[in-house]
Amino acid sequence: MKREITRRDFLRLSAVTAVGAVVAACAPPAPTATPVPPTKAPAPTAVPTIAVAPPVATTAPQPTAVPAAKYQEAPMLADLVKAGKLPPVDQRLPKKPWVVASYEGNGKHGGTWRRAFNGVSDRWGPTKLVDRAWAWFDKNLNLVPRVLESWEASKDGTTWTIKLREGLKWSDGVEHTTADYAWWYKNELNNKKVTPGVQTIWADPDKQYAKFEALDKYTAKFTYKKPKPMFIYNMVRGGQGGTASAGPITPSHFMAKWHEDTTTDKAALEAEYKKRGFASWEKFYVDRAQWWYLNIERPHLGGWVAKNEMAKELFVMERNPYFFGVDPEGKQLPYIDKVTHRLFESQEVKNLWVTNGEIDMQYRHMTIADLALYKSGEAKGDYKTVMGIGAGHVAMQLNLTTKNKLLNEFFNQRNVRIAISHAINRDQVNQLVFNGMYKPRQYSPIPMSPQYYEKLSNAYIKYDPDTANKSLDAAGYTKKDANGIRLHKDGVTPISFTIEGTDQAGTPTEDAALLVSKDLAKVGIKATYKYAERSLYTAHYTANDIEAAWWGGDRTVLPLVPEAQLFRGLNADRPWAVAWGFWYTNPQDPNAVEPPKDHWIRTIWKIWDEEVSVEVDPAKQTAAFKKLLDVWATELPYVGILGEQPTPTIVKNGFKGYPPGMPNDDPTGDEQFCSSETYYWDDPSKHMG
Amino acid sequence: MADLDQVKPLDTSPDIEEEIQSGGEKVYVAPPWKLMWWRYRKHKMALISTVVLILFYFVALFCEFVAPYDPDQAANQFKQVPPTAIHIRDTEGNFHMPFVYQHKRVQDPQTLQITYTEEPSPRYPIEFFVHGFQYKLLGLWQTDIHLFGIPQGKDQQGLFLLGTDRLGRDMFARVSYGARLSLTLGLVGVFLSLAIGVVLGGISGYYGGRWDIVIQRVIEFIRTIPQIPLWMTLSAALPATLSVEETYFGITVILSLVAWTWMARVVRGRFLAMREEDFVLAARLNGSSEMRIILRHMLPSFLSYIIAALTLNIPNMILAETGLSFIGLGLRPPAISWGVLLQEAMNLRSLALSPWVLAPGFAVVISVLAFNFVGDGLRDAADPYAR
Amino acid sequence: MLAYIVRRILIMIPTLFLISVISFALIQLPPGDYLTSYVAQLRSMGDNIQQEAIDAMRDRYGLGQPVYVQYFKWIEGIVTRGDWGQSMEWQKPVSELIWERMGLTVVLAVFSLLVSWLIAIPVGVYSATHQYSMPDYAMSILSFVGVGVPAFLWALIIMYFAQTQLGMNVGGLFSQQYLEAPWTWDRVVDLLKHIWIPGLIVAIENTAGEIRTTRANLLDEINKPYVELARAKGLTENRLIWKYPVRVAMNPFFSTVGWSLANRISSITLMSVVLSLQTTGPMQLRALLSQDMYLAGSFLVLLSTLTVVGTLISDILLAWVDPRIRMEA
Repeated sequence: MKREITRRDFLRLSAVTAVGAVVAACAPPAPTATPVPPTKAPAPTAVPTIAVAPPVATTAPQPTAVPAAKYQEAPMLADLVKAGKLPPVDQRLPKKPWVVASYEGNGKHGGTWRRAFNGVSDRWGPTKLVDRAWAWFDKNLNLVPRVLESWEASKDGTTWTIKLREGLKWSDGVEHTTADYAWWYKNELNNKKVTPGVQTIWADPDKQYAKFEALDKYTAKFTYKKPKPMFIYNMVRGGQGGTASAGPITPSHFMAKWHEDTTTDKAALEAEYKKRGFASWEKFYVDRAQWWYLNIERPHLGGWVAKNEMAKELFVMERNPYFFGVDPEGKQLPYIDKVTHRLFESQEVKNLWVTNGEIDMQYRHMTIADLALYKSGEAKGDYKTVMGIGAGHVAMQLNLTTKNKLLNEFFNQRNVRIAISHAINRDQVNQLVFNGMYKPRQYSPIPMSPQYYEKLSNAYIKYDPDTANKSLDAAGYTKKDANGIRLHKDGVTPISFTIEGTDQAGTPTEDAALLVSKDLAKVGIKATYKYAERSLYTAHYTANDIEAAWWGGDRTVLPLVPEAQLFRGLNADRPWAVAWGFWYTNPQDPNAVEPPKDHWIRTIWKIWDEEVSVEVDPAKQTAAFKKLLDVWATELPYVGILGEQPTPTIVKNGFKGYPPGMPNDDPTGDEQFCSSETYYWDDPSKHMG
Repeated sequence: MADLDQVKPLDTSPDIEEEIQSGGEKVYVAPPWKLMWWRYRKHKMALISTVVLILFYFVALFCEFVAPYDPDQAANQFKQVPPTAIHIRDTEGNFHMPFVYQHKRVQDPQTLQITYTEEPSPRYPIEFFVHGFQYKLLGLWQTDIHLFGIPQGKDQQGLFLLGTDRLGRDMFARVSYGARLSLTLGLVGVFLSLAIGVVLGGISGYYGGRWDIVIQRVIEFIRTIPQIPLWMTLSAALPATLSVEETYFGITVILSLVAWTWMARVVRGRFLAMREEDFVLAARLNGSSEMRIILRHMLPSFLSYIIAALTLNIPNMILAETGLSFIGLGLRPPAISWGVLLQEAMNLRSLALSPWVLAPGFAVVISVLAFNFVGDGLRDAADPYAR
Repeated sequence: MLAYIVRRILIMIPTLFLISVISFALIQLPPGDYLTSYVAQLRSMGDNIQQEAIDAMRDRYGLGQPVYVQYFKWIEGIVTRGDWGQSMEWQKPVSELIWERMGLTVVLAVFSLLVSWLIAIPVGVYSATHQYSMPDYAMSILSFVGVGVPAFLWALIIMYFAQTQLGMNVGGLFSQQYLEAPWTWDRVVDLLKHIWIPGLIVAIENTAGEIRTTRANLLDEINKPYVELARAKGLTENRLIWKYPVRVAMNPFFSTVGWSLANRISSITLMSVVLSLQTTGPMQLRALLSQDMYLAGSFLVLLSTLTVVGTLISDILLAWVDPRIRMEA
């Protein structure tokens, strides 16, 4: 059966304060208005349930175990078990496995899932299928345990106690315990060769790491000096390698031999890294040994393990026999045996694969520009184009810290920014470029987000060139040159700036940028869109040599998870406050500029530093964040144009588990939001290829 | 790639024998240019192509006048309109001056695909020299007169000879504007490579010896590197900060850096052949200076060859620009060239849903063909005394 | 003969050296380096790579060193160990990435060369011997169209129609199940099933010129006295043409095999970008855009080497056939 989760469902749900039990399978989402004391797991019901924990639940309730005898072996592994090459499924699963239901009913084992990728730099496509970590979101965006059995935070948010699932195993069959975490803490996090700087996600606001203690084989405690309310969010995705993202979920038994301090055979380690062309062990360790898709022997916890290195035409992943999840009937997950990623080097060839029915399920690399094409190919390719809700926006950033003095003065007037916003005909851009599928709005959390703030998303979005002209006149920019372009206050320089963007010719985003520059010309502002090759774009913003940029904004489903960096002006690639952001991060940065004493960006930072980032109570935290958004709604630092984009996902007919209306955002795993292990084929025998 | 050394003239004209027979004495007294013209006009395809090229360059020069609409003017009501059908007969069977019917737009709510159907009324007559967007003719005279268009009902209906693109921009206007960049780029590039080619090829062919060996080695070396990968590498090195004009110039220089080798070989070959000719020897014995021999005697006698070689190289330039822009290493929007237009058009959604946006491809093919035919005709005519 | 071959090979060495220097220099031209574009790309995909990791990579690839040091290290690796450096984007040694692609490029180039000779020679001979006939005119117009329509223009259109009208899959050179399979007979068959369309597309673009060359050369040859003599002796017209004039007319083909290969590689490069073929083209384009310098440089050097070697082989063959050339050079 299928059930669509509409945006309204999301709207109704308050992931903010609710601590309620939700039946995982097909029941309608049940928001809870009143907080339930989160002390113990809900009583077991007929259907196995997963309890919901808010990000900062003091205790995460425990899932109900399915009776061990009922665990079902995937047919693909049955022969191996019979031959004695693999222990039976009951011994491979943890004592209390992660019980998770597909969003579209219980599935069947088997089949292959075909996808496309475009090279090693596209590693997050395959990685998002397997980066299983401590906790994950249920369909109401509540955080629930995944690898962990439960967690508990102290009232003040400084101490976090996590409990691992007993008997949960790495993909090579070795048990995953707090010893792994201890090894990571000592040999990765606190090893200056492997981690030269301070990893902020593991540090408190004073850049101090927590004290780590392994209380027993399955219980560990992190103690901070300051509150760390976002702690659990660090490990919603991860464990796949890379110093930044692997985190504690590190297979110490495997990594030990690649590490200078723990290897038993230094000569072998040296021979190995030299053979691979690395100058030192730590470079080899950081660049290669850690990554699951490059060092394919490296065990991880995800549902599929790599069968070959990713730098190939076809990247093949096969089921992890030790995966720790089961469905409500006791079938070991994942349902699907094999996932393949085929390399494409031209968008058109990828599109041809789509319309030819050679992509089974994928959101990544699918664009709204090709929607009509996808739709027209549905019958022949035997697939559906399932629409989700994207977090991305079409937006323009005026660099408020630009080195151009006149432009700096111009951009830094609130009324000018508002006038620019009013000068943009959002409806026209929407209709012309996007077939009217977007919604005119400012860059802000989207309605399904717990931090949705209507006042900001609707601020100054009305197309009103008259008001725009009047405000610009009132701001003193009345003189115009022969071409009708307003002059700066010096009376000679026309107001002209370059919007840099990295979008290819003929893409909708570029089309939109060209249209917006025409709108601005109508109110006497000359804005020229210019393509910049990515490295050049990076070079420009890192040197604060950028006047304005055309780079949307995503991470609006759960803006707090990536620490709302964009809203604080710290993501220099969306350069609305480049030099100020540098100053905030590192006042010694050569391009850093200190904002004026009573500037509103200091208010934003203050709200974040003193309220949002240390607030343990989710409701109060969200309320504090909305105060921050209110500064945005008043000052409009970012010219948002369109948002709430519908996002196309190609889903082959017969591929189940991914209903329409799901959020598409990086922190929520894009199309892997509904736990890819639970996706299945209604008839796997037809999809063995 | 046309190589004069390998490709001998394609004889489509049965020579000047006919002329000899019919005109008798005329042939012996006619100046060379007349002989060339006689021979050239025998090549029918070359003649037709000449007309086509003149037309194309006229469009390139006066694209603002020829285009009925601003090529950058986007309009929602005209998204992906197929080429407008021009009628002279209405539904009742009455004849009129050429006119177009009103389009009706339907968007499929499922596939979002837009389709247009014709409504039998109203009729919009096509007129010549109509008022449209403002422009400066040849960059000098401000005017708003355009060659053709439909003066009435502009908001509801347009005259789109080649349809419109995804933003409702007139493809005919865009192809016309594209002609300016693409066609002149070929021309400029070829003259640039001619300049290098003539100097180096001339030195190589005239002086011979060590100079010849060095220059020949350089030519061989450059030709050893496959052109497209080399061009790709060079264009990737062009800074992305360049303005449209600078990129245009940069691409031209890059193309010429390889193309001069072909020119140099042609020039060298002719010099080698001519060095031994009697009239050169005679001039030398007469005490003429080397400069005079080259400029007065040798250059005129192989000018026609050079012109032919030039003509045959222009299409290579046009194709190269198209190819580079096509893979995103050449010109970029808002510049309008055929390559840029093709880059925007060469995708499945265009092929499947609005194939008319491939029109610039046809413009490329036609101009390349025309240049090839003209070059072929010129080469045949180049040596009027042959055979 | 041996002396001639040795001399030719010795000339190759400075040529190749120069090619490698120029390739490396060209690839250094754009601003920034691989890491700046890499980091930008990762950030756009939502990957916040740590500055320490970037520094480690800069160190590892030696990007902080002077250009000439980087160059000599690279060359040293190639000459002494067959190590073409590391591809930064693919995080693999270049030598593990390029050989199959080089191989397929060569196969495709040679395949299209053979196809166009197979078409060009009979058609050219027919045109020459039936000068000014209708088929002759038709042939010349067709061959001009071939020149006028470049492969990359054809490629997408053909791919689209092959897929929608004929139900064939043109993107790529292998079916999915053979992509990573070892070389078996079945894989060769699968390759042949896929290679003929792109091979044909490249052949179409280049055949035109060759038809015209054959025709013109043959026209020159058949008017020579020895042909008249043979005819007078009563040889059949077929034997007369094929016995000697055609062979002479073919000489320029074989002598310019190197450059023909270079032309094919150019066509294949552009077309492969469109069709996503596993040749050098798409990978080189990407390497250029992401400034993956060792990969891009290796491709340019290898492709040029291919034509140098092609020229060498054709020169040796010609010298073997015609002793005069040996003496001259």
